[in-house]
Amino acid sequence: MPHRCIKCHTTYEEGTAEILNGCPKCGNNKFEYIKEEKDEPNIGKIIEETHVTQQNRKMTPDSVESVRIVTPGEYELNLDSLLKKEDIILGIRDGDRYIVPLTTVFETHSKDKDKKEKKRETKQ
Amino acid sequence: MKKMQIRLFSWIKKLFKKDRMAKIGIYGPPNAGKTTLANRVVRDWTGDAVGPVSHIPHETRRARRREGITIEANGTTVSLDIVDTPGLATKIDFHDFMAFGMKEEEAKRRAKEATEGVIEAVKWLEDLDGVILVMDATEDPFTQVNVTVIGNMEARHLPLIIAANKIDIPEASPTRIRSAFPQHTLVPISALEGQNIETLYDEIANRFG
Repeated sequence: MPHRCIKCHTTYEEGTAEILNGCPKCGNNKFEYIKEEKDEPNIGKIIEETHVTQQNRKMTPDSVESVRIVTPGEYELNLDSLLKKEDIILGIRDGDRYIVPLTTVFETHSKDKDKKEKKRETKQ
Repeated sequence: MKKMQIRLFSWIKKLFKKDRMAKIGIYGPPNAGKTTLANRVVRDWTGDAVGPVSHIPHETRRARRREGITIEANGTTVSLDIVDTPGLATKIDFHDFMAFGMKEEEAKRRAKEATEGVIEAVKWLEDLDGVILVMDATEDPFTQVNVTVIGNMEARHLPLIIAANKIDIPEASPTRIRSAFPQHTLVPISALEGQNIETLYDEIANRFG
């Protein structure tokens, strides 16, 4: 990593004798690191990456939740899941928290069980 | 001779056919004209109405059922229960309602009710014998809602009629919907003006009778 004299701004390669002995131009012995370009934050790149992340977090048919509450008043619905599954899983915000309404789940499955039992009884 | 046999067979079939009430759901995205169609059908055959309509999306937020509508079309009589359902959507945002001049609190309440409405609409599918899928013929038919709903109806083997609505608007293109979903019966209609509605009744009698 190159160094720069804080007084005259002359740059020296890392490990050179000038850094140890002081700047030959101005005699100053305080230097600062010069960060390589790739280490500097590229705002454009970050924005681009954030955009992709947001896209990934969008509700897809494969998402585990059937309804996502983004904010109160803002909802995303997974129609595919709602149409296929009887159970409803609620996602909060960007899918970092989930709620499974157990009462509804148990009610649904007990109804299914009742239906199956009734079918069995009628067959017998 | 063969024709005579077919006629005799269908006459006997009709004679012994049980008088069954078909339960039909009107589905589709918000603002496609579901309630306008439900009102048209119910008004034409009973003189009543089902519910209010609005240009603001998600006006219908609870499923509304109208029982015992008898439709006479194509020489047959069909008894129907019509269920008008809330619009199916993948995103409901209260900001969209605020754009129509609604206050934040009211818009948030509407968004919540509309979300519950979508879940209710989906739950109704279990009880139905057939579906009329209303699409706005002025809009692109290739939407996530349309594709998902049609795919699911096919998986459930539910009889389906697509009503390509709003043909009274010059930009309407029922052909675009027909080419998007060629495997299904499509009737271009204007629920608002009543255009071609008789063809829809004929099709209802054919499919659900």
